[in-house]
Amino acid sequence: MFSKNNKISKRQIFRLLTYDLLGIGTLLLPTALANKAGRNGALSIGIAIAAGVIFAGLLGGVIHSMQEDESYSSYLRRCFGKIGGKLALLGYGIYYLFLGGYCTYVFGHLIISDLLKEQSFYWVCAGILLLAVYGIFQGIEGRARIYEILFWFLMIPLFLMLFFSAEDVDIPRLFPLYTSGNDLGVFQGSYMTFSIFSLSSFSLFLVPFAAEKKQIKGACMKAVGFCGGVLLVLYIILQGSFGIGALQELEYPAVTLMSMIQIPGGFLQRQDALMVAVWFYTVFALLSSSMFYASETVKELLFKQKGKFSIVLTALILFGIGVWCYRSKVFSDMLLKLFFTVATPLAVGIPLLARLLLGFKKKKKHISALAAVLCCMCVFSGCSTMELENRNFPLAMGIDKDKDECRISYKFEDLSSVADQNAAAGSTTDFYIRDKDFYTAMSKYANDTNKVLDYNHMKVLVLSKEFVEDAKDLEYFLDVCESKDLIARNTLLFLAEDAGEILALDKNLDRTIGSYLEELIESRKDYELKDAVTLGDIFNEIENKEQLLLIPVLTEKGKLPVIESYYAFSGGEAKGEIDINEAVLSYLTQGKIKYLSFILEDGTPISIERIRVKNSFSRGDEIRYLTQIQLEVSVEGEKKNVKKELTKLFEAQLEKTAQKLFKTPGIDMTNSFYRLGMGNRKKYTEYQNRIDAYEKELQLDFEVEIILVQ
Amino acid sequence: MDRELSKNKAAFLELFGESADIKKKSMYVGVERDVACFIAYVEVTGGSFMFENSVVGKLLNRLCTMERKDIYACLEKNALGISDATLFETIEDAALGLLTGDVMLFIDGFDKAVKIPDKGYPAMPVKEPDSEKVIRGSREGFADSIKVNTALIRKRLRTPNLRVKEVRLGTRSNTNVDIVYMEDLAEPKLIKEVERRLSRYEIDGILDSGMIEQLSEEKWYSPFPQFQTTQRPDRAAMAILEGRVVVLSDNSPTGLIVPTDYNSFIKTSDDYYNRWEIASFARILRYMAAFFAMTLPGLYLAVTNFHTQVLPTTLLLSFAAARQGVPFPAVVEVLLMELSFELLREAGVRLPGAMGNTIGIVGGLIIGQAAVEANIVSPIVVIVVAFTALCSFAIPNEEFATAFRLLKFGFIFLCSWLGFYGFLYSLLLVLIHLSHLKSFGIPYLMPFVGADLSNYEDERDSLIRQPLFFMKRRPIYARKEQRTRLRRKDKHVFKK
Repeated sequence: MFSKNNKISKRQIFRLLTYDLLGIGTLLLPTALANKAGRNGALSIGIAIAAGVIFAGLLGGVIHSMQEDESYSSYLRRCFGKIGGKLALLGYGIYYLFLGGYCTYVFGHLIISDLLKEQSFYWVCAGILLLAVYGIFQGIEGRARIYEILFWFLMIPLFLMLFFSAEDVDIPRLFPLYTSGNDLGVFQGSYMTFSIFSLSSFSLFLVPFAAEKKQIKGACMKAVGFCGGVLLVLYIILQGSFGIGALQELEYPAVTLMSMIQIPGGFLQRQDALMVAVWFYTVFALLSSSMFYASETVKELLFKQKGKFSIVLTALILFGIGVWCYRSKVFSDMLLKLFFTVATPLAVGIPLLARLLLGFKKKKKHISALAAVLCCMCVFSGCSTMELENRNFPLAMGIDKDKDECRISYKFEDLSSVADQNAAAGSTTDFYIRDKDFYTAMSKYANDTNKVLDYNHMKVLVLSKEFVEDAKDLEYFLDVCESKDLIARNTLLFLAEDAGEILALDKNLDRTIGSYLEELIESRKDYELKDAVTLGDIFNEIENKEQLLLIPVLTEKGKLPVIESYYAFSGGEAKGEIDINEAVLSYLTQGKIKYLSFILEDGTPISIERIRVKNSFSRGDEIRYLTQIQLEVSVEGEKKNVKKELTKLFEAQLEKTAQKLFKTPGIDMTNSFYRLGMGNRKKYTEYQNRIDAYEKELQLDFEVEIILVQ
Repeated sequence: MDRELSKNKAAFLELFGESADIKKKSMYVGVERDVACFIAYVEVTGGSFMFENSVVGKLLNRLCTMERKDIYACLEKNALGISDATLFETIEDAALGLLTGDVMLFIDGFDKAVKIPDKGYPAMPVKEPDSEKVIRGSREGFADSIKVNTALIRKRLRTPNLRVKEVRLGTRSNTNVDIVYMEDLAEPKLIKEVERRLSRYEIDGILDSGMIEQLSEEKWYSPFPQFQTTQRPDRAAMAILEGRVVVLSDNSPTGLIVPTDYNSFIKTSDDYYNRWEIASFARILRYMAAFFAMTLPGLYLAVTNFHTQVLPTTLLLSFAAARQGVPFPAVVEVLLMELSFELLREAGVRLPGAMGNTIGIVGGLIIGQAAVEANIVSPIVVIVVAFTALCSFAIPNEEFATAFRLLKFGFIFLCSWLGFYGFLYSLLLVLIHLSHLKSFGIPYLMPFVGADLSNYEDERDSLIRQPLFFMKRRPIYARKEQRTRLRRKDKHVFKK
């Protein structure tokens, strides 16, 4: 009566297509792009956007040449003849069936790996397919309305998250912007991105449902532009946050990124579970679209009158394909390969050919049951609820290598101190466990106690030096953490001679050692929290092998844990311990120090309020790295020649320390390799992935300028 | 109808049988007292006829001063001096006339029955409605009598274009149902559709507008109401000015407004009487309340049982500490509290006014406190349930709020089973359902979806209520050519 039944507006088409392109694009593309195009990923996306817009123009041309109220299947018949048209439609049908099946797999896999680790993949997929069937039964207008209303509800949080995460982007990781010799990679990356954009060919099937068919082209172009923009920003943020090496290894880097973002105010500890909603709805949109168009083609080809039957049949096929993908990696990889090698050319080729043929011809001529099934699901599924009181939340964990065994120490909050009235039973505040390796020891906890460990709120991880120095143990530990998604990537990392002993100092503190150490880092004036080393940094460094990490080493002093030295981790390897002054100088050359104060030998107090650091590589054959440091110094009392004295002092100290650290433990304290891509493209290409060879050739120069202020 | 009174009387008496509440009196009028007549009425609807202050009494006294032939002429010409006297030609019509609460007069030698309105049925007077309270605006509410209700609307819309179409529903109740609309604003198709739906079923009795609502709904299985209800005449008048149709039923103080949408249920009358900033703020609050009324207990379960990483550590630890010693799983705890709350609410509604309030206080404060102290539930669950209840009360329309209260249990079930996935799943399910729901052709989620149908004008009165002078166009319900509702007359006033 009032609404145009089964007709959708331009805004609805735009949002529908945006959802189709965005979900799978942001979920899977960054890793694939990092592998193919590396640092040139952004360039690939740019090229793909241009190609996508041109493709949308082609689709617009096809739509324009369609007659009033003509469906795409009729159009194909008009262009290719009856058999040719049916064959083309069959091609589309198969394409959408496999696309939908793959989406089902991705959806189920995302949910069981990021939301419901103990839930059955099959039930998750069956549930979502049922919902999709229910949605499709109601017609396309309703489907378009869902995405219309959801659009900003999901985009605003996504944009906010991207905005907050931009702070964590390390600019040097983005460079060099374009490296020659990788042209094939750029092309492959562009093609892969374009393949995602080619999903906009769905719009051809939308013609009978569009309120005005001429608006489809504009909606398509807008959707490609919008998704391309989001993808570009996301890729840059991911690259800058993880580094290319780590990005290549992550399964769903966008979701991982969400787990690391710290939003101001501390209202939420981690947002990844909430932000999965973005991919829940966007992947569901693509799944539902694929199912809709596949069922339309199945109906067109096989069951002219049985619309609902073809939807149910399509859903069953999608479920089968999804399960097959889950069970066989070979099959899922093959589908992905087919998507790029067969489906994309098909999606582009058919409309192009149709357009050409039609032009040629013209010249010649003229020239339900959802609730019941849910109940069954409830009966059959293994519920994985874990009540709060059955969990223990370690706030700190220590790992030691004890002979050939792994010893784990946990520190929990004493719940009776949180709310003494209900916790009469008392709570365990520490726990020690040991076994042959980390995984066995960790698993033993569940057997030895009546609780389950929930690592989601762990503040700090203290590793023993011996444990870190054993590359095999460390790698195994990181593998377990990654595969089980055990510990948050933003957990602060410390080292100690004996991690268990450090954690035992908890009894001398007014709070748990986890909170204490977190506050110890947070309250520091001299450097920012974002420069503190986290478990995520170790994950990234193991893959990227590009920078120097200085992990604070804890020792006991006056029965309190204090930082008196740092442990250097460089090129993905544990290098050795350095003292606190060396660490400060290293941070100074990297521009990570904000404030510094010390006392000269004659007792004069010096306070450095503002520090500016400029780094540059010299042009030429040798690798010279110049660090220019400008310090605004305030001196208490009157002292002659202080400017000269300080300049000399700093330059001498920097030279001496740099040389010393080159020898033992064999690190470049300026972390220059990290900036090589940004500073010297030629040398970067030469020494890429060869940090040891680079450091052998490296020569460091320091220039210090002192500005005295009152 | 026969000219002979005895035959008419016999037929009439046969129709009603021995009904004790139907009063039948034979008497004589005319100067000579030679004209036999017969009066029938439902007890209490007629007055004491001999008294001067009764309409029928005055009429009978006057008939006693006339000759026989003058009586017939006077009745035929409707010259009785009574505005609403009606002549009926069949006994059945006369019987129906009597049942509307009027007095029926049969006169010997006159082949028609005369309906004379007198006291009529007893009914509640106009009073302030119990629901839809406003801070600013009229305090008048609909009464039980349909005539009073239509008058209350006409009092606010004094235009000849206001139309009231009367139909009778219920083969035994013969309930008057009025379709009220503005002739030049409402879509003719809409009025036809309303009439079609009203005549779709044959039912023995319509006792309230709620029965009409259920029989005329498109999707019977939806928990969301597809008719908007109101007890406020100003609200009904406002809807009529938007081109909507109001359906009133006799003996019901609740009017039905069609078509409707999600947004209309969130609006209140005083949204338009208050400044736009205040109205918008209140609306945003109500939207949030609607969301949390449905989702909060489920979200609590999803976060505490599955995704503890979302909560800040200190908050999570205090949740965990509060749960120590509680014998039930969190979902049982939440269900217990939710059901207790629903019980208290039901008890509060059924009990007389003062006792109803008392039960709320007793339930909320004493039972809640005792349950926490006995470690049956944790304090945080009491807070969650109380906040959810507050949210559901903030939804202005009771029927609409009930939908959220029901769906809340679905969310609790799915979230306790599938965590945040269950939450997203249920949200999507509700969204799919809402996106397909329509009320007389209007998408339920208007203007958040399909806003292009009204050229995005309806968005001005959605989450944010824009200043009144920006809302120049009527919503999509009105006829296309009659969309302008506000025009500035003094355009050049600032140039002077």
